[in-house]
Amino acid sequence: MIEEKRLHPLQIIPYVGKYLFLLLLPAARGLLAIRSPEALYAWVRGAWFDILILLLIVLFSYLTWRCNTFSCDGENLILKNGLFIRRESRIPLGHITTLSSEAPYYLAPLGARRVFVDTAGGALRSFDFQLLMRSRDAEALLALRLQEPTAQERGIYRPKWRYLVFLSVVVSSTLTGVLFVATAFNQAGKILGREFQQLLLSELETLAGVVEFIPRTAALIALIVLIGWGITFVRNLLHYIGFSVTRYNTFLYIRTGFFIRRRYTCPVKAINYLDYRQSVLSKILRLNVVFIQCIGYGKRKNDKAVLVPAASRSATDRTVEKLLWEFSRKPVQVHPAFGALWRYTRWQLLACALLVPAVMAFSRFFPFWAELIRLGGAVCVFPLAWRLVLALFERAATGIAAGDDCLTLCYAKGFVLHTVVLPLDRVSCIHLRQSVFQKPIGACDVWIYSYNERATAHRIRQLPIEEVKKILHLE
Amino acid sequence: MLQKRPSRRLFIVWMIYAVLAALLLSAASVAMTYIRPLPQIYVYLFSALWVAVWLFVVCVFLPLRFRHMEYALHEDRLEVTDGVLIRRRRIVPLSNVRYITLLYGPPERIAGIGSLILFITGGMVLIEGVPLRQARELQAYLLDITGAVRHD
Repeated sequence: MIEEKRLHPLQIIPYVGKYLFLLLLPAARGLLAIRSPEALYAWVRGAWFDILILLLIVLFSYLTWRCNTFSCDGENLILKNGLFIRRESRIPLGHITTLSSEAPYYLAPLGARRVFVDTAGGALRSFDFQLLMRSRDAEALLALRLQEPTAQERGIYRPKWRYLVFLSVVVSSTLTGVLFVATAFNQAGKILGREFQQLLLSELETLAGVVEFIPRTAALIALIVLIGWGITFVRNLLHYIGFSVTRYNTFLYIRTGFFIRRRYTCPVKAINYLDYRQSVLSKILRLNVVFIQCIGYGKRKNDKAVLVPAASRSATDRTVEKLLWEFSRKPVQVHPAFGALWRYTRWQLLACALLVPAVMAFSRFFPFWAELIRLGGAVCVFPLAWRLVLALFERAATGIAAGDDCLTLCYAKGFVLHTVVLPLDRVSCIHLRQSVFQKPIGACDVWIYSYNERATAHRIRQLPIEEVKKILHLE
Repeated sequence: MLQKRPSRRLFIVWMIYAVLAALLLSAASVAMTYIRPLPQIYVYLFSALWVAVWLFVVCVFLPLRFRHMEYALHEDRLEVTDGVLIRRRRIVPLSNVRYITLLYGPPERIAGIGSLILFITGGMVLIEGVPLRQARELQAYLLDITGAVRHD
């Protein structure tokens, strides 16, 4: 049980922003008064009013902080906040899906930590509650979940270094990195001056010119993309340092991070499904990355809901058996028909076939950009071929299996192969769709929706409809 | 089954907000008279418009809205009915309720009432005009029931 307490005093700072609108009063007063130098002097003498407003802002922020409390009566988490409009929220501890804490390096010396509470209700894209509290209070709150009899440790998993590096490679986003580089470049110019910005650009151009057989513009773009990707890779690696998962009786306790230490507690019964993911690269390297879907875990920007960063199939199965024995993966029982190979690969083959004519046509219509267009075409070969290879893997792997408690769904989405282990009680809807072209061959597409804040659809294509009905007991 | 209408004091709260809105709009009308390039006819039109809308809301819309609001608590579900032009009846299984927030501002505190927001999977449901003490009891009671229903 936790008695009623206040949040960390640092929480006052965001409240200051709420009352900044009060500064409109002295600003309006100043604007009305200024008509001559004498009026300006009078306004300056009247600054006592501005100081008073500023003090009011600080006072309101402090009072708002005083009204912001949390407590726990053993069964419910009770949160009270608001100065003028009071909010009193009661959240049953059993309804909290993920309870997590975050200790950034800049808050740790001040004894502060952020706590995030999420449930299946409330906002979809953000946490239901975010609190900035003292570290010892955050520890006490997390400890509530890890009390007896749930405190019995059943297994612990710590991945090897090389798997964390692989995960960082897989999840690093080029787009995020490029946006970061662009913003940093822009801000560097504003802060350090245009000369510095020009110097930086010329250095990059010099570096891009090293590779002589690639046009300078393309090389510069490639360099920026590489730098951007490198930045996100380093950031992700720092995010996953120290990653470990501990299974208690009914909870998973996940630790991760170096500069920003994060802790997550996820009830096993709140995990909606397990997702084994493979890209073409990890398929060739025979590695799996395992994610879990638990509301609140992996919700932060750039955060991923990882359970196993990367491991071979046998190691993955052993780890999942140790941590989440409730989720048992079965070999596929219903496969697509042999003739479905064309249906999996037709769009990729069509795109590959049309690439060369499209490049030739564009080069003819835009001769000034011909070199760049040809280079762009050459660059497009890679993802198209990659997608075609993935389509072949997809055809080989796709299918459904049904166990006593779980369904195993194998399908591809984008550039990733998914093997989803979904408990039967987390299935919210099954949708069979058969087009006029599928009817003669007795095939269908299966959509299985899993329970979530917003239902997640798993689409498995080109399966024989009769076998699907039998295995899912839909006859 | 427990069937309830909102407290009559909810009307007092709505009137407080309506008066505040009228004061703000009056201040806007007065401020507009000092904007030199603006012809007076626009000021009169604006004032007439907001007065007409305000009277309609206070004299017609709010009483109708109050009349059509009610909630009913059954063993396993809660039904909330509201709406003026489009009548809405929301049926919420109690097992679907994740957490409940009690909300009240200064006018609600004066009137001694509050609003309960039930956060459910996929949305939320609002019950207005519940006396504060009853709201806290209902909040605790509903959460106890949801726990019992889930265990069953």
